[in-house]
Amino acid sequence: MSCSHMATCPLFAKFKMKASLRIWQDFFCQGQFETCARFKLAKAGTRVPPNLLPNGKTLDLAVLG
Amino acid sequence: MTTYWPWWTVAPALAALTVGHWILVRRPLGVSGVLARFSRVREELAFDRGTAVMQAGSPALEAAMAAAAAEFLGGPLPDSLAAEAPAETGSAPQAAPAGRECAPTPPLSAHLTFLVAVAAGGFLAALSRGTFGAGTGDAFARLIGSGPVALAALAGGGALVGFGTALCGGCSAGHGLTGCGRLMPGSLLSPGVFFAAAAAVSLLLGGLAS
Repeated sequence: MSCSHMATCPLFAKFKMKASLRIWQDFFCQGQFETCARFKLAKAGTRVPPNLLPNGKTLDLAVLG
Repeated sequence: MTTYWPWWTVAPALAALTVGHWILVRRPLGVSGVLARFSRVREELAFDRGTAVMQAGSPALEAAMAAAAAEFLGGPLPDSLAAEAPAETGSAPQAAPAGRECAPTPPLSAHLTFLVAVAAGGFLAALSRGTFGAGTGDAFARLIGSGPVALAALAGGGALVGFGTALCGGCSAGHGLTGCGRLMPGSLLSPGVFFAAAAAVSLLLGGLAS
């Protein structure tokens, strides 16, 4: 069973692009997606921050941008 | 007395608009939620910038995500992943059909376009009826009055509408059109309360005015 949000989750496309990011896809998108921080927020009707990772950590966009 | 288009022309148009918006945009149609975004414009612009950075991608972003993955694993990535072999493109399971899942929030510029179009639509509708510039209408003037009193009533009423829609997460467009169409329990209840309250207040004001 995979995450029903894969079609619309912007991060999922990122996870497919690089082998080093596949761990997120394997562990969350196609595994324990109920524990994904993004899935839980979306399910609760809350907008998902763009830089939120599935494990709840956020990327510092000021550094990346 | 203001005349409106017959219901049998407006109802199918609203239905087509609501369903078409979902099919094309994959987002529920709403107005108050769009307006609310402009009440926290700095936060929304920061959200849009973050989305743009994530969508654009960069080596720094990929490195940061890979570092976070390694941290999540509690150690270095397995050789099979760290080697940076091209990711498989054809064997990954496909996502389940999106069904009722929403698309991500569009940028603020898209919602600004939407609001301008709403105002333009109202303007064109008023022109088509020949009522543009006619003020608040006979019924409003009879119930509320005119001049500063009317302006105060409009400002107070607008504030109450904003407060109420923020409190219940939508207005007659979001709850009444989209939410009811999607059989969402809260949305089935909300329009009934909206219109019951409106009818009660109208009857009360009508009684006071007569």
